[in-house]
Amino acid sequence: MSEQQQPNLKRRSFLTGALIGAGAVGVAATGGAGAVANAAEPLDVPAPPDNTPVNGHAPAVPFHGRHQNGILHGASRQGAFLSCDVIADDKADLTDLFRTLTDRVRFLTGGGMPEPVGITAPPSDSGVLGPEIPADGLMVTVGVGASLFDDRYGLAGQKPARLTAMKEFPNDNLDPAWSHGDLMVQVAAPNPDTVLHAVRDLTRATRGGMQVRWRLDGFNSVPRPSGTPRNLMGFKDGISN
Amino acid sequence: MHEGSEPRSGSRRLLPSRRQALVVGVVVVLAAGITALVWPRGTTASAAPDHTITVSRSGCGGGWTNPHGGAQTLVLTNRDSVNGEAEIVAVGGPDNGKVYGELDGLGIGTTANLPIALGPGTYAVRCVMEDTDPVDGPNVRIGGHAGSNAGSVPVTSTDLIKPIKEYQAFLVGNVATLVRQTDALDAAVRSGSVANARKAWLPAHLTYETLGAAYDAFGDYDGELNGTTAGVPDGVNDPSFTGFHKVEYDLWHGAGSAATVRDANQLDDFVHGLRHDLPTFQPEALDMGLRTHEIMENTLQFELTGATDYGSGTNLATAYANATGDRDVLNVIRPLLVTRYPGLSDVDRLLDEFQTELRAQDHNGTWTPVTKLPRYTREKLNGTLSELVEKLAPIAAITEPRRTP
Repeated sequence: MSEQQQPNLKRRSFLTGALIGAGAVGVAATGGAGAVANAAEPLDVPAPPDNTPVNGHAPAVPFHGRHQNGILHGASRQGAFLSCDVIADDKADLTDLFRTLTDRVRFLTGGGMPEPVGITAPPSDSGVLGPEIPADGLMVTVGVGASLFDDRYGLAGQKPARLTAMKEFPNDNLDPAWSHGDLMVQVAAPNPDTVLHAVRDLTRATRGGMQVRWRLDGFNSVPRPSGTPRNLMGFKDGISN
Repeated sequence: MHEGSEPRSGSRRLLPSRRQALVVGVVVVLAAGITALVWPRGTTASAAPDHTITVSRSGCGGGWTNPHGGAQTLVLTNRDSVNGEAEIVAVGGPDNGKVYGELDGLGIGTTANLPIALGPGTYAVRCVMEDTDPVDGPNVRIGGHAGSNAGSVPVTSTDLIKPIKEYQAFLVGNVATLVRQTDALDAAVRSGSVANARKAWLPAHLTYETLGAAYDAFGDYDGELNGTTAGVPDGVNDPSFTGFHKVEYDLWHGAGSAATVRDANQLDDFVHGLRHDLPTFQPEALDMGLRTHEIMENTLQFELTGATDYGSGTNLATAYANATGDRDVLNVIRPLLVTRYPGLSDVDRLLDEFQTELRAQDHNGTWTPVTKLPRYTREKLNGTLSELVEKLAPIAAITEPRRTP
């Protein structure tokens, strides 16, 4: 799928495709093993539940299921995208990293009381969301980049056929420091404190296994005055209206 | 202290910190209008419900009806006439004396929630009220098969006397070394050789960086000896910017001999002052465990970011010295930790790993500047130190001195 073959391919349409599974590799939340999202998956899934907060909190989006809970779900109001480089020493450490991510995401997306630690450690939670953590519609999606499939962890032979590092597109002017990464963590929720709380929790639990390479926060506007939300140039967004 | 990574105050090099200044401002505003009491999170000053557990000298532990195992939230009320703290303590058996939960700063009439997980065994509420000896309430038996959260036998102030004395002796020895090294730096600067002065600067600075000067350990001396331009209005030209980094700036920016001689001499004077005043800077019991964490947290904040590089590019050497100093604090409290902290071997392993990774950046005394590190190497250093800091954080909680009956 080179640029020569598809000269009209734009980064934006590429990304849209990637988000529905054509170019991203999802990591099965239940096992930590890589699983390629099926591009042929029917997309006529039910409309996502409206995760507009009620009394400040949105209901939980189930963690367990066929996909990670952020896949095929409607866009959230708030989000953070963390591109991480894996620094795990070996394959066993990499496995630990995915297990830790799985455990923390399972807890955070379901909500509940943080683990009590008595006098043996500082509080296990930052306290940002209060003593009991609300699920608040949190969705966390972990994907892996092509760079993870190298000789560090013996994954070179298991790279999905079409997975490549993000291409440079016409009119791009990319900074390597703000490109690529071994592992993408997408954190989305209706409220920014919920997103931030999850980002802090996940990056704290995985400090020795991965480091944030770059991070971008984002949001989706409310409809003004109705219908499709406007983008920051005042237009109703072209890919969804 | 939240999340292990939160310092108990602001920057070591900026006092009063912006945060403290803002807090003072807020308090003034509140005091002007209304009386406001702020309790730790999770507490309320509302009337106590009847079913809560009593915290007081005379009725400690009363009202713990229907005790059961597993994860739960106990509700405790201070019904005494003084402020206090409450703990849940195991009684008898192999875990005798271990504390499984603690409520700090429970004010008079205050009710607070204590999330806790309790396994089968016998427990008591310990009421630690101000100005009186702690008392334990009646034994409470819990059955079932649920698991407890981690518990730990409290460390007392008495337990910390020996470590503090050992650490004081260690400081006296290292400051004596420091005096010799800043004397040598002073002489090298006077001799007019920038190359020799630079060579003399590094070992002196590294000795200082092994002293664990985090968080006002040496009163004003730390700011005078190792301050940066952070929060200094006129930056490198500000007269309050003094000490190692000022001399570093001079030596690596061609400041000229008069200025460098003046600054190196001033640094040497401060070091002599520190040696003289050292006996007045006895660490508090609370500080020992806290420092093991905060020394390395400062390393993460100030050294691995390159924030304190004034030209020498030796942040990684400083980081190495910090790790050495951290190990010195750790070693004096190690006897208290061996039986209390399962993560101690991880701490030792990560300290070793961190120093091994740093040594690879020492090229016969010339250290790779942080900004010149390849991305992966820098991420790996950040990750190793970050994991170490996480593993050090529990030590502060475990070795916080607590009163026992």
